[in-house]
Amino acid sequence: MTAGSSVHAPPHSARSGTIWGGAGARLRERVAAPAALAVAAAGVSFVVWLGWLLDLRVLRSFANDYPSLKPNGALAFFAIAVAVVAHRNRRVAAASVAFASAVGFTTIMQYVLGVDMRIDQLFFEDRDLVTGLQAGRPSINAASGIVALCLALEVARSTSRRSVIASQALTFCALAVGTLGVFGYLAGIERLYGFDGFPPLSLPGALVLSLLACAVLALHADDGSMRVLRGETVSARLARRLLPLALLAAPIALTLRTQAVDHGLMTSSVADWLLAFGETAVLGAAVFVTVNASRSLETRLEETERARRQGELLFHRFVDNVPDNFLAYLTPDGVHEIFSGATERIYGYTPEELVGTDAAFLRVDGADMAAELAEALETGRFEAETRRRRKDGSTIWVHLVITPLLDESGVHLGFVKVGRDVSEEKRAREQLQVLTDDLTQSNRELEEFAYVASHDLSAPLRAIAGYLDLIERRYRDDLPQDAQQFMARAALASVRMQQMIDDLLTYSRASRRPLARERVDLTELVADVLEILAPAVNEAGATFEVADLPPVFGDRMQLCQLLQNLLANAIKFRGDDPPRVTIGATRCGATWRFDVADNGIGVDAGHVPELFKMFHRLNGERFPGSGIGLAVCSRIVDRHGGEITHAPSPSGGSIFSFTLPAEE
Amino acid sequence: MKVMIIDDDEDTRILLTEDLRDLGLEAVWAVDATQALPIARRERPALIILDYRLPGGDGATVLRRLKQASETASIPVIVFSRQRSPQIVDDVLSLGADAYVQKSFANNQLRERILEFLPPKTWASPLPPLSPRFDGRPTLPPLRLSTRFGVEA
Repeated sequence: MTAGSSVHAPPHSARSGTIWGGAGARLRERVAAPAALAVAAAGVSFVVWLGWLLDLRVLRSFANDYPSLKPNGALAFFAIAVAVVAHRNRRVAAASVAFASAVGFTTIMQYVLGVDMRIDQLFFEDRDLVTGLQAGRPSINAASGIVALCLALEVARSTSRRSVIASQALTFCALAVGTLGVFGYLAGIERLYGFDGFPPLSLPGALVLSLLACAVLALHADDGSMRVLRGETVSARLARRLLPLALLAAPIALTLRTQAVDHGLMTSSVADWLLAFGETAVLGAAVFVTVNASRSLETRLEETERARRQGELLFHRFVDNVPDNFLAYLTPDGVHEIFSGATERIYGYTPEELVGTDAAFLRVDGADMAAELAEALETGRFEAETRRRRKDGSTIWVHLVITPLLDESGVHLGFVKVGRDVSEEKRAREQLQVLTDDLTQSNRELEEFAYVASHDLSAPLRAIAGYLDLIERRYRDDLPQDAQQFMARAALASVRMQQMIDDLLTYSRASRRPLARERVDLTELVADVLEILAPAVNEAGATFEVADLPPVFGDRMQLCQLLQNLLANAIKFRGDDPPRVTIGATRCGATWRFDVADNGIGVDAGHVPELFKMFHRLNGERFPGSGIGLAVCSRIVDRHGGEITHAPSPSGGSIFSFTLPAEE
Repeated sequence: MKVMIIDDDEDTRILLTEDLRDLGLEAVWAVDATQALPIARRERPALIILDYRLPGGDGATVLRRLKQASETASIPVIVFSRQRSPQIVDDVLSLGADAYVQKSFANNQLRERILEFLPPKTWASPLPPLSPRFDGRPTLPPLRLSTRFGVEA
């Protein structure tokens, strides 16, 4: 057993620190190999054969008064050893097993049928036995052991669980026969190796049988019950404890009894009673150990079951209380098996009603889900918004995510489906899209309208102004005083209207025209603007203080408009002193901030929020204008990705600040 | 001395005509691109004022035709338009126009340019008398007072 259990030392011990540890593990592995055991058995068989050949009884019985291992038995054992060593070579193994089993089977048949097929002394004459016993014939124990091992080897060719267990059971039987024999010799109890009237199992035979049984077990150390014996599970430990007991308890007890009687320590009746008592006590202890172990296992199982139930309960609570999501588990072939409670809220079907349905059951088009499931399996995820049918026949939009469920070794266990009712969301999204489209369209139309209107309004207005001018020129003297005043007012109004139209056009252009971005030198641009504004500047006696301004990235014409409006405002909304305007720039990350500060009349804090809106005029009485200039500024800065703000200047005027991108 | 006005807008034509009359000049009208060249050939104006946007072909075409025809090539042309992009000035000058004046509110600029091309001392005939009243009747061609709804008087 120990041999089998260390055939494959766990890798960590082989890798463990010291040289001795590693070497030890390697050595154990090598020595423990089934081949080593088989070679040992073959060696013993060979020695026995030599014993027959050289007629040395000690070699074939290990003691002169012990029974010997018969030549046929030795041959069969040797063949089994060969089968174990060469178990990968199927032809050699099969031939060896066939030979050994033929010997074993024939021998048994001789016993059973009471015939002599004259094969027992085929090679050597056997003079080791007293008269009456079959000379040269292997014992029935040895023959049974040989047949059992041959069957075990043959059955183990199929790796099914059943045949492995059958093979191991047969091997255990052979092992029991062998160890009983060995103990019989150790304890001097004939009954353990021979029956009255039959040739007994020899000591070499018992040894070889035990060795070969261990070798066959070691050959399948990773299968069936052998695997159970390894490892650190409760059952493995229990088996490791009870198995030696089962194998050794009876021989040891019998040995003790015989020795005690032989040495005159007690009468045989007392010894028998003690034997029975001891056996009962040991078996009782074994039962007790087993029961204890199962009890602790049961307790652990109960705890695990309780924890599992709690976990499941918690999981269901969690899952069922997710309001808009349902979860489902599908088998690998796409059949719904588990649904969470939210399913009913979403589909109207209870989870129970849906279990067993096909993955496509809720689909509106009725097509199957094979492609989707295949995609999920292949890519690890399938996600889509799909239309599904509720129990009441209505349809909803469900956002589905399907992921494959795989265990650690990659075996496909099914699919997990998470769904969310997105009907409302989708409706809202669609509505929003429609609204946005409408708004975009109406915005575009509005801008179009503003452009066309302002453009086409100019011509008739110019005509009105022209006729007014003409009347004024030609007929001023013919008109009464009040009519002249009305004419003058009409002319003024038309001028104002033209101004508004021009500003509207500017605003509409600032909004419509695509930006032609380029590197613009702002110092140059300010100089150009001041030239344009020269008449107003001179008239107001304004002074300008312009810092070194950096180049920016923007549309030259629009930036010109921006500066023109801001500087014109700074001149226009002046106080009693002549205007003093400073222009500076500060770098802020990827943008430049420009400040245009004046000493004008400033803006009341309450009006600042309205400042950049269309047609908003703060000083309508004192200063003529359309109220569009700053709206245009705001629009231009906005389209350049900047921001325009107003702050009061410490000297009482205004500071208009705007940001522009420094780089492309 | 005749000045030809090529413009589809009636009010512009009338107002310009009156301005010219104030200056002592006679106006000749053409209302679209197709009329422009025949009338110019027939009337031989001393100056042409051309709207750049015309029905039946744009001002550029008219300008090119005027400058190519031998009878009219020497007549100075002032392009008079609402467009105000800097590019248009280059465009019309390269096509042979002699000046570009933007249509604006006060027509002082146009008046100055007219006098520039036709200084009063070059006028052969004495100044015609100012019309005492605006009667809506230009000399040539006959005035078609139309409303926006297409009713003709």
